Formats: sequence, C-alpha cells, structure tokens
Amino acid sequence: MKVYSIYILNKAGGLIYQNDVNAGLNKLSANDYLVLAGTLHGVHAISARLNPTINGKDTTSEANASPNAQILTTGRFQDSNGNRSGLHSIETDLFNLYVFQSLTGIKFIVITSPNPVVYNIQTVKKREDVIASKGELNKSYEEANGVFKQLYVIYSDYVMKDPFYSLDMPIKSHLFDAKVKELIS
Amino acid sequence: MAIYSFFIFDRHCNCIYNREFTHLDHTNGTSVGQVNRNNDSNTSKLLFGILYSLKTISSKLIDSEESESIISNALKSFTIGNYRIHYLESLTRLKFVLVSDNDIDNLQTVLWELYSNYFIRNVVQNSLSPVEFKQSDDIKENETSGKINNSNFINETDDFLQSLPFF
Repeated sequence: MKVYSIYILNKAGGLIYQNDVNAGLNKLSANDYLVLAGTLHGVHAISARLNPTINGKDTTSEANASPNAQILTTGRFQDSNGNRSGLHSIETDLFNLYVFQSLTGIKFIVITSPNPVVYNIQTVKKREDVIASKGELNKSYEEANGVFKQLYVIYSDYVMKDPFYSLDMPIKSHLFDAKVKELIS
Repeated sequence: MAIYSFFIFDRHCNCIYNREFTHLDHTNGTSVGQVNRNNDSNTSKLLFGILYSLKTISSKLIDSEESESIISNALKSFTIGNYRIHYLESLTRLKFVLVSDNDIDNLQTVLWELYSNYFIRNVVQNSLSPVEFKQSDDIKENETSGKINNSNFINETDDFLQSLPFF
C-alpha cells in the first residue's frame, strides 16, 4: 500500500492540510482541492443518514449516537476512530481512499494505491468461483487505520500543542510536515 | 456474507429497478423481499447522490491519460459503516448498484453479468420495453411505467443472485 496523499478536514468540512506525499494523483488547483474536501464532507454526512435506512434495517444500534457515553463508563475511549456509520472507504480502479474521523470531528483522509489482490471484471464461468478474495479490503482498511493512528498522534503532538496554531485554520507547521514525511517513508 | 439490495438507475437519475432481499427466511426457496417498492424513496435518492459525487471525485483525482488501458478511473465500490456498495456504469450511463455487507470485496463480475446478460436480453432486446423508462415528469407515484416490471428480468436476476454462494 503506497500512500499518495493526505488531507485533513476541519469539522466544518474545510481543507486545513493537504500533502501529496507520493506522486500518483493529478495536481488540482487550490480551489478544486477545497471543492473536493467539501464534497467528501457532504458525502460523509449523507452516508451517515443513509446507513440505517438501507434495506429498512436498523443495524447500527446507535453506536454513533454518543461516543462520549463510552468514556463516561469506562474512563477511556477505546477506539480513536469515531467514524462508525459514515463513509469508510472508496475503491476505484486506480486508488483507494480512506476516511478517519476523530472524536472532535476532524477528518483525516488518506489516498493510497489500490489493493492488487482485488480483481476486476471477468466472465462468469462457474458461479462458485465468482469471488476469489474476501476480506482483502477489510485488511487494507485496517492497514490504513494504522497509518491514521500514527497520523493522529503526530497531529496531536505537533499541531494541537503548537501555541501559535489557531483551531480550524490551515496547518502551516514545518515540523508537522517533516513528521508526516517521516511517517510515510 | 450477504447481498442486501440491487438498484438500477437510468441516465436521467431515476431509479428504474429496485430489489431488496430479506435474509430472514432461508428455508423456503421462494424469493423474499420487495421489488420496486422504494424507487422514489429518500434512500435511493441519497444513494444516487453519493454515487454521483464519488464518481466525480474519482475521475477528478486521476485522469486517464497516463493509463491508456482504462477509459476513465471507474468507481468500483465504497463502504458505509457495515455496508459495501458496489457500482458499475455501462457506456449508456445506466448505473448498476449492489449493496452487500463488507466482507465481499468485489462484485464487478456479478454486476457485469447482470448487465451484459440479464439486462441486455430481457430489457434491451425486448421490443415491448420502452427505451426511456420515464418519459415525463408527471407520472404519478406507484404508476408502473417508470420501472422495470418485466417478470422475466425480475425472476432471472433473482435466481442468479440467489444462486451465488455468498448471497
């Protein structure tokens, strides 16, 4: 899994950090990146609405409702990824995109190379061997989650603890940049 | 592993076919679930909106000039909570959508089969079925003409999907 780009969105859907760590994606104009971030934010919000209503089943059992409840009972939050019912990942022919949401609503978005195991269109010869891989995408989601956790730690250490950083504003910290580069390479 | 529902959208953003499967009754072989019940529901509209936005994003981020073998960077699937939505668009901009749980990685083959075999044979090559499903906007709700009601198509796709090992 090769990481192409890292985006960070504030809780209103504004792009506050954008770093193309490896070549592989198109270079867009600054305006296009903002539109992209806004669209992903919107899609994430719509997904959360759609999720329990698909097939008329309510399967999410409101794990999303209040992550704080868990903190109150156990004294600590188990999983830093607060993204329960929203958009988790997108798979296309040429890249995969993963979304991580912190408790405070900050979204981390990572775009990586696609999973090589997951194949494309083939003709159906026997119905039994239609699926050659299962759970591969879940594995790469876990892998991306590993990246997110480290990224979140770096963000907490070098952005949130920066006394000159104002909340929800673009991140312009060279130290953070360097640490992100270190993490990816 | 399970497939939950199947949608077809036409190029005017209308949901022309909607099949929902109920997985409660495994013992009898009859198809359970609903056909064409939620074509105009918010679910199908939201789903279409998400598809449309993600498709734009995926074509924007990588253009096809570098990789000539692929016509455009096609969206294959995306995951929402515990669901994975698989997507295939035909050249005529018909959108085929399958909703499954997130253990199933790739249903492109199945979607292609649904389009190239069942849809082409039963709907496109059927001279009694209309070319455009919704001709005008003033078709009333629950009217049949805006949807695929071809029983051959419904039965054959049901049989095909239910015969899959991961259904």
